Amino acid sequence: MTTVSENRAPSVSPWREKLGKLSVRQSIGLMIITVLIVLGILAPYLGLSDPNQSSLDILQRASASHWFGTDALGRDVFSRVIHGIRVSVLIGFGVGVLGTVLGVPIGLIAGYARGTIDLFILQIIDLFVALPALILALIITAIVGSTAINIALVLGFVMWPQMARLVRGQVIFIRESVYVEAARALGGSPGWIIRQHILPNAIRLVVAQFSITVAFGIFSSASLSFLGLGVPPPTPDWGTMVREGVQFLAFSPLMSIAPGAAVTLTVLGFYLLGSKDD
Amino acid sequence: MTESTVKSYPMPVTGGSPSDGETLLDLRNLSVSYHMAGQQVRAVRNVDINLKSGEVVALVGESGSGKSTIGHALMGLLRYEDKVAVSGTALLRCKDGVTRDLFAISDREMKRVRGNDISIVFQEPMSSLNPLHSIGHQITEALLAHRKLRRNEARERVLYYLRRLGIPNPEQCMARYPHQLSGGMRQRVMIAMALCCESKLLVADEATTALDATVQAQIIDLLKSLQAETGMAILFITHDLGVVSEMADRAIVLYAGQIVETAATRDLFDTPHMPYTRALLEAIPRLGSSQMKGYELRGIPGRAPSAFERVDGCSFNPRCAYATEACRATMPELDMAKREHLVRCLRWKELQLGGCDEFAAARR
Amino acid sequence: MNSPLLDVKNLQKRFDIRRGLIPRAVGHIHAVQDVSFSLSSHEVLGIVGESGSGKTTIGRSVLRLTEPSDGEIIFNGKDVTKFSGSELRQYRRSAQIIFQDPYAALNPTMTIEEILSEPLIVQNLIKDRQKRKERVAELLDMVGLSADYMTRLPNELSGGQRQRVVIARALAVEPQFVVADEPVSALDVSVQAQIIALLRDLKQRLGLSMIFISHNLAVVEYLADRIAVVYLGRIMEIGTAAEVCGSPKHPYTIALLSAVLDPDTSNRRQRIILQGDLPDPANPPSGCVFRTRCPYAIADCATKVPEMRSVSATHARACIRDDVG
Repeated sequence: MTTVSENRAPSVSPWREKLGKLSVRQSIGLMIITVLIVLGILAPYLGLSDPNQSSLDILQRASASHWFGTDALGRDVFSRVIHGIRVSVLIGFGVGVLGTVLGVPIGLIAGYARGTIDLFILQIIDLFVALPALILALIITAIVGSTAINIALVLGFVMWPQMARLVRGQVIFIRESVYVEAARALGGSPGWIIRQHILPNAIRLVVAQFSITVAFGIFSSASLSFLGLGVPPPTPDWGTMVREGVQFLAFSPLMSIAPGAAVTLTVLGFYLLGSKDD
Repeated sequence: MTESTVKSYPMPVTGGSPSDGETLLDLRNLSVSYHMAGQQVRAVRNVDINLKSGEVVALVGESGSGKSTIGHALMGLLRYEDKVAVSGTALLRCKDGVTRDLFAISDREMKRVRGNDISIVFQEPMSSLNPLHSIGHQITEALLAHRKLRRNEARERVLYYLRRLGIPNPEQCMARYPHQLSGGMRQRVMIAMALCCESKLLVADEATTALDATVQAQIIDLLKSLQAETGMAILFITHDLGVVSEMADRAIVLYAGQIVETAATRDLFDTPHMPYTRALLEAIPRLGSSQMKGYELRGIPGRAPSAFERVDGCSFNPRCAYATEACRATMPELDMAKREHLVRCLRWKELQLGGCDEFAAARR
Repeated sequence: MNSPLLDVKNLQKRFDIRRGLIPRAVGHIHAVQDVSFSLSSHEVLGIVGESGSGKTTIGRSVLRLTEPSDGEIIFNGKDVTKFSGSELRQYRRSAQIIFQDPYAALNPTMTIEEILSEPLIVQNLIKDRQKRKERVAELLDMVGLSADYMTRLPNELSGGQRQRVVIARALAVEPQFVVADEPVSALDVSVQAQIIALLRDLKQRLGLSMIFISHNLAVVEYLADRIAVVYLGRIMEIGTAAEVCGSPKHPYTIALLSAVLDPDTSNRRQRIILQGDLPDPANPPSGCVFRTRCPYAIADCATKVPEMRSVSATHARACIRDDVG
């Protein structure tokens, strides 16, 4: 090369740039989640025994026919763990979607409007953040009743302030940036500025927080079921399975450990996906 | 790099500084490379600097020239970076009479040298001051860390230097916290902190760049008189040629991590031999341009190569108006134009580049 | 002189200092006080001052990026401070801004083409996508960049190249005047000169009027036809570049000139070292705001705010003394 090179590699597509490349951690997270979701979707077609079919083979230890053994009603624990993905991930996504749908616009409004509106929203956010989310969810679930939809709604409702606070911070940061000022100087309307500048810059954060919210949803719904406020039986649910297994822990530890590990793995997957660069 | 030119580094003759002609710092063959994205990137290439006690030498360059890297290497700030390789020797004559190689001594020894024999003032004082402690606490602690002094003696000395730096109410200043001071005041505090330890060498890394013009003028004035009085040597790292001509006995021009020209300041500005130096002089807007007909500011086309980019031949050739095939093929060595004046250019003999005096003639 | 393009009269800007749980104004900073100046077409007015002088606030107030607290800004016979909605949007086509930091002024997620298309879309200038692309190429060419840059992202460009994009964006709407706020301070010396030369070239080629804000008197002298020197929110001296830099009549201008370090020592003025720092802008000195650091200050300076007094038809200064300069 004889001259100072002004030519660089061709640029990646702008959307790719907006979302950023996945880090190693995020890739691992995505892999875990993909495997889990595929298993969850295919669960009925994997030739597993019916998760709700009780039998006389109760409290069996792990064997070739029952990989994780059977529970007190003689149901196959492995099949129940795999089928449990469905309810867990669905509730998790429900929490994520609700948290995002509520949190993003509220955060946008607070961050963009500033002044009294911002102050008001901020107080509400702080109120929510100050209360332990799980206890709040526990109380509300106890009142409204624990169906899958209710659990997702309640958890989403306690999680939106996290998203709103994050979005608000990001909006304030971007709104004060010089390029937003340039857009204002060019005559750009608030709608244009939000669409063109704020959202594309906030999207990475929102995606990451969505993933974290899903993780929280899965973890919290499992906690609620463990406390007896889970999805009504006989739907296979990890939290409920852990609780049921506790009394047989010494005798058949896999009954609790298997669904517990499933929760951990799923939550880990979503947390990794939502984590910042390593 | 010819060893002979390095050894014949001449003594400064310009400037009224009390130079005893003794070598204080002998930096030889300094190269700094970074390991980035699987590549070895050379930020500084074979730099030799010889600094005598009491001498003020300016290290001039634009961003990416490697000037700050040299300062950081000297202060031992690169030793903790695992992706940076420093090679060469930096022999510093310490106060205890021992000459140490700053690149070979242990971290513990370096800690003692830093602040004792060599001090640094950075561009942004806010990041060098701890926001949680008062100014007085910080300077006194820094001083006590290096000197066996009683607390009140230390305090006295700090007060003395704060006063010397034109801080109107030093007692009050010592009770304050960094954020309560203006940029100019913070920079004065930083300089006072560096001076308190009475080291023989001060590295000023863009120390006045962030300041307003009138405040910069104040501080340069103070530094000049304090330098004359204490006889400390200063390595002034800057991009501002005005500051160089104001402060330095000798200037070293860096480009793409290499020394491209070095000479006594006046000599450098009056008869630059390297086209880059000349182009820099032309690129600065001069006062008085409104009274001159036809005065044109000339920028240097293109930009300096980043450390990632490799340029064959002379690293300035893509931007040089005088570049020939030979310049694109051969990397020139440092050549001695005259006593004290080294230049890295294949064509310096045939190019008769004018300097500042040309501009002065246009003004008349 | 024919009627000016822009006439700023007694511009004021106060920022409230808010404190408390429910924030309440406990005082204010008078960032701009009684600033009046005019800008003719094809003219470059330099505004020089140090940090805290209010020079940036003046520029932003003129563009209505900050709301002026008081005063008039007459543009083509209309008061800009009264504009709202479509009038303001229309004004933004006539008045543009070039920012100091080219690293912050470009949205990192947008390509250069998207960045330069923004003004064309926002102002509804070119609806056709293909035509817009052609215009973007034209704008890039105008600032000395090839059309290849369209697909690049800002972080692939050097500081100087970015600043060219910032300039191109401001010129996309074909404004009648531009406020350039320290457009070269963040750049390297050699690149600085390129951008200054580009601005001078654009002024001559497009007949652009400009308010050029800088802390560097030498740069301003080179680019500006007239210069206003500001200190602590007030104009100290105003005149042609030759008048202000050649025969300054205000002590602050003289001090500022003397602080310019020219590599050529024969091109220096006798140094005047000002004492102390800028006073607290929330609590400025009485009378003349410069008196606390002024080597010429007398007792009268503390009692009344000096009025602008003429030296010539184009040259005036706010100093009560006649023996300065």
